[in-house]
Amino acid sequence: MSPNNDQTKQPNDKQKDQQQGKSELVEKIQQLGQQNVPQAPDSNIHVLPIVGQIEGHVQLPPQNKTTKYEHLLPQLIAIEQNPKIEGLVVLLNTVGGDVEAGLAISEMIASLSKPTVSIVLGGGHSIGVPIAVSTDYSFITETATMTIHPIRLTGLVIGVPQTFEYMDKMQERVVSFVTRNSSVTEEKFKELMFAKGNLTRDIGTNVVGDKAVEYGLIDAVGGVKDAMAKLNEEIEQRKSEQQQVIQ
Amino acid sequence: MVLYTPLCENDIFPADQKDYDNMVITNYNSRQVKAMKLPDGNYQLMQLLSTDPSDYLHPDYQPGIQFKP
Repeated sequence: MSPNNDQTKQPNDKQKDQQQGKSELVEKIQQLGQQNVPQAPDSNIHVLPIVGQIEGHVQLPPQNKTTKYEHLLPQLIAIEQNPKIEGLVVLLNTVGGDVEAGLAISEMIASLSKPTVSIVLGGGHSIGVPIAVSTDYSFITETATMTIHPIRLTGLVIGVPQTFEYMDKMQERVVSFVTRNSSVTEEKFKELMFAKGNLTRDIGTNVVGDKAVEYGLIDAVGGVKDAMAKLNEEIEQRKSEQQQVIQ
Repeated sequence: MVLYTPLCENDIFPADQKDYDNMVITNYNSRQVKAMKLPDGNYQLMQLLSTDPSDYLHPDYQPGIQFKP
């Protein structure tokens, strides 16, 4: 502490105002970690973040970051219904999760009438794969990865043959969805799924960026710029098609 | 302690009910948000559940802001 500080501490109105402003600013920084966010006009493109774990019928503990299907499904209906929304971007950074919840989200996205584009950012693992391929066009960043592995079950197993048959059918649903919505062949997808030696002490494959494109799983390597360009192009194309119908 | 198991952590150490009670999904300015209850009765926004990208730029919906229920 220097003796000069005593002089500056003398209270006056101007300083009080400054302190007031300062405390508001400090509060804002504490809350947001930043001062202000840029403003933008309303967008005709909507964004669907698929983050953390895809939650199924059991609520995960609150410290887990989850994507809840009961929130996404009504949002997708709203996207389909709202005439102001012209396109959808799906951002994926997920570890996977519940198979049926993931398939429900994938089927909803695949059956939207509006143009859709997905970007796999950090990782689109496990059940994130069908969600990534469910859009009209899919992108993966160079460093992003997708883990393809067979379906697993944690919890009580009642009877081994019945459980195996049930899991096999469930897996078939995932395989058929992915092969229907991307250009990967069933043989290739199953080969990746059951590959040995790629994952330590597990079967499956960790597919990185351009490899996913090479296998036909994802349409192109790219990021935000490419995805937005593609989406805007599709929106324009859709608009011109509609105009032709009217004429 | 190292635990070697194929089960997930939550199956062995279930989360406390209190943790769930503190987290709520609520409406804030007609937008759905995931929020945490604070000891003073206010809510702190944890996650915005919206598909409108401009909502994410709105200063009122930034994670961390506090609002009254």
